[in-house]
Amino acid sequence: MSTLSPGIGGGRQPRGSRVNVPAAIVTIILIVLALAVIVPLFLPLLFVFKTRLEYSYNPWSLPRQIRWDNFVQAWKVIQLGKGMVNTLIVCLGAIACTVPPAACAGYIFARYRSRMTEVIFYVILAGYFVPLQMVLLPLYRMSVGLHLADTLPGVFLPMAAFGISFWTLIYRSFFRSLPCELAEAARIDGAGHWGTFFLIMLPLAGPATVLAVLLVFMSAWSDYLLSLIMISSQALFTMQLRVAQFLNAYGVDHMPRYSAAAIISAAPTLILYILGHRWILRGTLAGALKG
Amino acid sequence: MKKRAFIALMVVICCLVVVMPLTAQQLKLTVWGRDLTDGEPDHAYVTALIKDFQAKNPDITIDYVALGDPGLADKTKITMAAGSGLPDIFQTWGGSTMGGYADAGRLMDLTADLGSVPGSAAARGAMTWKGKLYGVAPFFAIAGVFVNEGIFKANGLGIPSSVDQFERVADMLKAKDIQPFACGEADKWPGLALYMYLTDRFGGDIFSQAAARKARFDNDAFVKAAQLYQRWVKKGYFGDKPLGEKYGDAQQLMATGKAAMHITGSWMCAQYSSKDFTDQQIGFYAFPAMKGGKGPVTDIMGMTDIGFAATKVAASRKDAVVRFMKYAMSGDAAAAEPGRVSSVPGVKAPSALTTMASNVFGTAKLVQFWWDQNLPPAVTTPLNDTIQTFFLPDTDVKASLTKFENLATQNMGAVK
Repeated sequence: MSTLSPGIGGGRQPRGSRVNVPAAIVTIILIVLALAVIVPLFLPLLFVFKTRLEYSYNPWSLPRQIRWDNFVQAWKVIQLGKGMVNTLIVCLGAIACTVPPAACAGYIFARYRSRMTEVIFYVILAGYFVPLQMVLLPLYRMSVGLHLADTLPGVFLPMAAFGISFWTLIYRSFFRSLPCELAEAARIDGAGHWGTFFLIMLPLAGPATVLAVLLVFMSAWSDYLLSLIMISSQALFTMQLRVAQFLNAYGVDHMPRYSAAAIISAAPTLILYILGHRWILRGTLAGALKG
Repeated sequence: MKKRAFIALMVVICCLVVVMPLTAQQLKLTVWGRDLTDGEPDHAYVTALIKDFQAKNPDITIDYVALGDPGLADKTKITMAAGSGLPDIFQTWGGSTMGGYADAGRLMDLTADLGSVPGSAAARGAMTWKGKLYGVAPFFAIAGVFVNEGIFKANGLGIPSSVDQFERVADMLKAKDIQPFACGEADKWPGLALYMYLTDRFGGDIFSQAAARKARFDNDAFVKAAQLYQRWVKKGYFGDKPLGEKYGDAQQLMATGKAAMHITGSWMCAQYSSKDFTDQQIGFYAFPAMKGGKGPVTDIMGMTDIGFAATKVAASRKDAVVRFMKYAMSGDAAAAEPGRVSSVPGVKAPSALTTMASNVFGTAKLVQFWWDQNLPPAVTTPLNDTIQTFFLPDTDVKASLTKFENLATQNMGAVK
């Protein structure tokens, strides 16, 4: 009779059995890594309810009293409503201009493979390795030339240009993981190229599309640098620019209020992640990174 | 007759319809600044400036955009390089950064319009580049020694009047488990002020010679100052982990009485005199002279705290720009500021701490601008990196300075 290793199968460990040292070490390392991610997320909650003086003396203690003043001040100064509409336009614009082209391109590169498409694919992929900072100045000049500077499309179009290469790669991998027989069966049933793509393959790529929509949304929501450079009118400022205005004004001098602004700015993406994490995991695991 | 009168009346109405919008046309000035206009004490000046200027100049609309720091610097840099999308007026500390924009032909020369506006010579100097005046600096920041008066009194310590005494006081504080200096060197730039003072006290205005490439940055005065700095680090004057503390941490150390002194800019006057921020009694003093050294106590380190420069896109609205600049330099506008040192004559300092800083500024015979704002941008970050190496006990500071000198040679030319 074979013996189960300690812990496997949920069985009780016999007395005096040895601790599985490698598993314990891995567990400890994973706990430390998890804490490195989780603790910074919770730290603002420790600061946000304090006054400046209370924070100065006891930054790491629990707040003596729950005060909402810092949230109220941050909310007022950020002018959430105004920034929210602009940010939503940017996010939706980025999704609309990134996901459909990337899905189409990914499908072509996965299903219609030839030397030509491979070359084009790698040319598109090269765009993924160009950092934004490197092309910021020519990009800004081009936007001014195209009258896109100081407009919201001036923000989401470059976002799409930078995002398409990555999402094309993801869609290509995803479509390659789907069985060819499905497309062939559709073809036999009389579906054309578009019909096969829109009616058969794209619905099957649902997890990848949800993943793309969520992550493009989150990345567009969090964008600061591109928005800062492209937008000059206060009326067009996105959430992140408004939050940055606030953080830059109160940062090191007013940590509790800074924490309130950080929580407000992070809340939508955190909520979105909590709501959509199942889809994100499914999309990532369902072959999105295979091939 | 009636028909003629009707036609005449119509002509007059048409003329009025055409002319009235022209006469009532609003001028618009776009201003990029750092602070929000939210009425907070730290932002009181900018809030009042924008609001009151508009009230007093109904024909001008100010489109003020608060970009904070580093947002303002990043956006200005890109738009200046692109030469498009520029604001009419932008907030700046002047110096070589502003000078670079002037060299690129982006700024508007206001020498003839603002040359006669009363203000401190140092502030005007910061906004001048190659003999041309590009703006105004209503507030000036100087570096000095913030001292926790309560700690000094409780321990029977006097304000040091020489660098030697400074060291003795620091030793006594250290012996009583009080951190002598708050610094925040994790942010790199906070260590610069002390190094500037030590170098000046050893070698006088040696920096100006090095910047003009008449002396090397690893010259004797720079090296001695770095060695003294490193000795103070080794003695624990800046705490056990000086490179682990950010500028905000340094402020907290002062605010809670855990550190006794903070060598930094007078912009901290508003904070350190705010009962909401600290319950300690804090004073401001000049950095002392050094026995046998060349730099006197009247050599002060500092630069513009709030300044404005105008770009060439505002050339067609120069009159409105000049009106804005002059109002920014007026006593009315400057009086709203609760903490900064004003360079506008006749403005009363708003707090006892600012009065102390203003008095120190009043004694200045030489004002040396922040090195990291006054050297070419290519060497400013390496300068702060070099100073950070002084905080590592095993660093050969001379070698660090020689490395920096080599970089300066590449970017600014060799010493002649």
